[in-house]
Amino acid sequence: MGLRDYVIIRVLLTIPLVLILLSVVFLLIRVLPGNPCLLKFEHNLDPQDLATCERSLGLYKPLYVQFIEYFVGLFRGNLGLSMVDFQPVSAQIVSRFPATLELTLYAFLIAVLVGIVLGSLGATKRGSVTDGAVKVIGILLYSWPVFFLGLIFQLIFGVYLHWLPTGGRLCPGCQVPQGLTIGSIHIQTGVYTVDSILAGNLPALADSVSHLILPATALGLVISGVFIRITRTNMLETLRADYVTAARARGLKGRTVVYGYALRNALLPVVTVMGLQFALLLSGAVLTETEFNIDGLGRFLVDRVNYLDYTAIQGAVVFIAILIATVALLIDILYAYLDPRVRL
Amino acid sequence: MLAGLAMVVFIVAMSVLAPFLGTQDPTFLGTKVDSPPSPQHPLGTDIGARDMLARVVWGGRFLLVVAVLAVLLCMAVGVPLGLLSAYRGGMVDRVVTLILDSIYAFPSLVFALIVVIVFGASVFVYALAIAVVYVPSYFRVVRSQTLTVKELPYVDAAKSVGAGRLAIIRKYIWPNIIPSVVTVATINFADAILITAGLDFIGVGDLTRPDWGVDLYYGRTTILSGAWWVIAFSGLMILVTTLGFSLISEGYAERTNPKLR
Amino acid sequence: MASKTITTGSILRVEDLYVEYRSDRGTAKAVQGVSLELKKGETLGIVGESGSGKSTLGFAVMGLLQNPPARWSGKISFEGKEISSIGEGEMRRIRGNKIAMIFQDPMTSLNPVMKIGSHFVEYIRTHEPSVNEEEAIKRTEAIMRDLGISPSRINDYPHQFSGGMRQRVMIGLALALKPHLIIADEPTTALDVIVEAQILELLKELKEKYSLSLVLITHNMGIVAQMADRVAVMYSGKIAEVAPVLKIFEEPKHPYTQALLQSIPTVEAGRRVLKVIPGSPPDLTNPPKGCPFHPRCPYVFAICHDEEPKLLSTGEEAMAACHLLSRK
Repeated sequence: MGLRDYVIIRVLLTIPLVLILLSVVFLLIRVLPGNPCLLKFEHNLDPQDLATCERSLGLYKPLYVQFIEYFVGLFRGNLGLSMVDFQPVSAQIVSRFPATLELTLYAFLIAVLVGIVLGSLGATKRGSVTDGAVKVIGILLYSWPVFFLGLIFQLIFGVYLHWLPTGGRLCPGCQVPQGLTIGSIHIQTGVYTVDSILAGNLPALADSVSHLILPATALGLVISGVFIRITRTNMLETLRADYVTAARARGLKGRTVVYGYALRNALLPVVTVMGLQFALLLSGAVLTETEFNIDGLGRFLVDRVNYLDYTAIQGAVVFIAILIATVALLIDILYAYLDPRVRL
Repeated sequence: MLAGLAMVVFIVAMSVLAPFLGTQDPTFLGTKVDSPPSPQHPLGTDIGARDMLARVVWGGRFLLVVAVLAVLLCMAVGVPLGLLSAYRGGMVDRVVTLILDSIYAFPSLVFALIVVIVFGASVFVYALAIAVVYVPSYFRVVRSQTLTVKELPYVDAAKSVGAGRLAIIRKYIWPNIIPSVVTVATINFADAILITAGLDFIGVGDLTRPDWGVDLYYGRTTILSGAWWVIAFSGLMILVTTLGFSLISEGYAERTNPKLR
Repeated sequence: MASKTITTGSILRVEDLYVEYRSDRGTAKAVQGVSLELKKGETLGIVGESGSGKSTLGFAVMGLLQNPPARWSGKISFEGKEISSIGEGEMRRIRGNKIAMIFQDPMTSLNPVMKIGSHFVEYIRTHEPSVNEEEAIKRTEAIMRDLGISPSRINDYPHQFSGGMRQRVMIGLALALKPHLIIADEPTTALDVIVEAQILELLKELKEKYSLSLVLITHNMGIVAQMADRVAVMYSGKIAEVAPVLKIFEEPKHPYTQALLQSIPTVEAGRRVLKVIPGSPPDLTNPPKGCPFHPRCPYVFAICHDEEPKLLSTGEEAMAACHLLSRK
């Protein structure tokens, strides 16, 4: 089948996956021992507050009604109101997501680049000192607690060397980049690096980049560990493959053979792993955002969790679940694009 | 692999023997806040003027207990589930796989965070949260190995001479899944430590407990004044522990698959 | 089957080739002092079991031995010019261009993520950079027609072809740039008998059509009977016997060759017990002293344990390495 058919089928398959995930989330939150309102107001048990809370969460309704309302709300994009500030959760998530997106995207890019470059380096220089170093670096990186690396970076580059800021997304008091306005259309993504490029605001770009370097690199390096290892392992195999020898026998240039034949095939399993790594990336983002004081989805989750704001937590988890399903889908499509054998 | 074993043994020994090692009380709130390493406090003190050396020695216990529990729980559920599902096949298998695949992709830390907040920060809750997220890993690996071995000609041969299901599992499938299970278990250990320490770092756990993650939580603000010792040693310990397990995992994998060298 | 186009010049000469592989278990002596000559237009069959060194010989000629773990010495000349000591850059221009190789397993010899057409186009343009893409595609389509593959499949991927068709593609690739010499390493071993016959026929046709010289490496005496002009039998990295094909079949002089011929089951033999060669192939890290075949040889006598037999002439263009020959 062609790529198009594969994509369609894959999208259709994602739907039950997402539905299951969302149901699991629902069950988890609802089937808690005790009553979210009770747990939240455990210190000052004002019956009035308790009643209002319960009513707003619809807790007195039978479970299946709650379930239906939950899904209906989801389709409408309504994730309920926060129990802390009574603001719509969906709006809060949407406003914070760009920060997380920015961080994870750059971290991911770093991870993939470092992973592939070092991994292929190790494989092509197999058995040498370089290869040994690559192996060690790989294991070291993926074992390294991301928050520890972040702290080290803050210490060295922020406190000792004063080269880079240790927190936040922009300098204190600096204005948020405005994006681009064409006529009546205003494009502002919330991703500061993109917005500052759109607005042609170079100082803002430099500022947001300088705030991104430490967190994105810390997160990216830790994630790259697995990529290094898998790229190396797979390339060791592909370099010995018959089609590589056959390609060499045809007199193709060494570089063509290594990259077009060996690496290209070695990367396929790496793409498969990317989906898993994305989950790790999100986990890492939660820690990194907290550590570097970045106002993204991760920190939102941590904050709300501390307040026991159940609707916010549920909303965030739902969002993450859908995000993951989408990313998994995209990665599968990418894989099908790269490996024609899968499309059949 | 040996290096890894050595590291893990060291950490485990240190943690188990902590009460007998004669360090200062890791929870004792003294007066010399945030002081650098000195003869009295070889690794310095933290924000609560607690001796860092003591905290380093004592800090791994909770993490290790959680990890052990999590791995045991996880294996107890994941392995049989994988075996059964692969054997049953059909609709049951597909449904279970679909459900577990959905969980598999979910970020473990996020899940653990929510569970711990809701159910409290005790050892069992941590272990349970981590276990739930890791069951799919064992499940997958056991299931795929079982499916492969199940179809092999020598299993058919065994069946044709009347070997019962249990015998087949015991003799053929079990030895084949052990390497994969061990590999997943070691990674599981390392991850459990990282997740628990990570949650402590966010401040979700019991902050009075001597714990490397908690040290990093307290150290977060202190380092801004250059006090490197409040995080360096505790962080290093976490690294050594996870690195140890990872090395064991890699070493073991290399042993059973010579291509990787 | 004699080729029509053998000339007297030699196109390939191997002198005193030694190849060793270092491995965890020791150093495997894959090729030990092999010297061979191939004449222009000739088909030389190299026969032996696995581990005899025949494939290694092929790789050595192509310059494809990986420098660790392999170590080698000796002289290889192609069309009068020495190629064993030239640099990689020069060798790369010869490889695939003047000397081409056909590999054993068509299922794994093509890049799974590259279209069939791309294999050819990339190949052509590597050696002839002046050719543009369009032209390269046209040439590819012509080659595919020659091979009996529909040119409309030029954008298909390897996994969409059967084993037989993939081997045709391999042959097509080998011939695309009209090389002078082809080394075919067990080209039909991975194929079933019917496809094998087709491939061999194709090979013969193309060889005559383009006046190629062919080194055919195989363990199958039947193929050698069909295709070769001369045959070299290898055992344990050494040449046991060399002779024109008829002579090898009618008057094999080396006990190993005789055993090989006897072990082929034939229809005429009726229900005879299958004759096998007793013992097992030699351990290349620790080959037997003296004649490598002596542990399994039915005619073994004293000197075989101690002294390596030299290649002695047994007739025109024929040699064998066996102590029986010096015994009168």
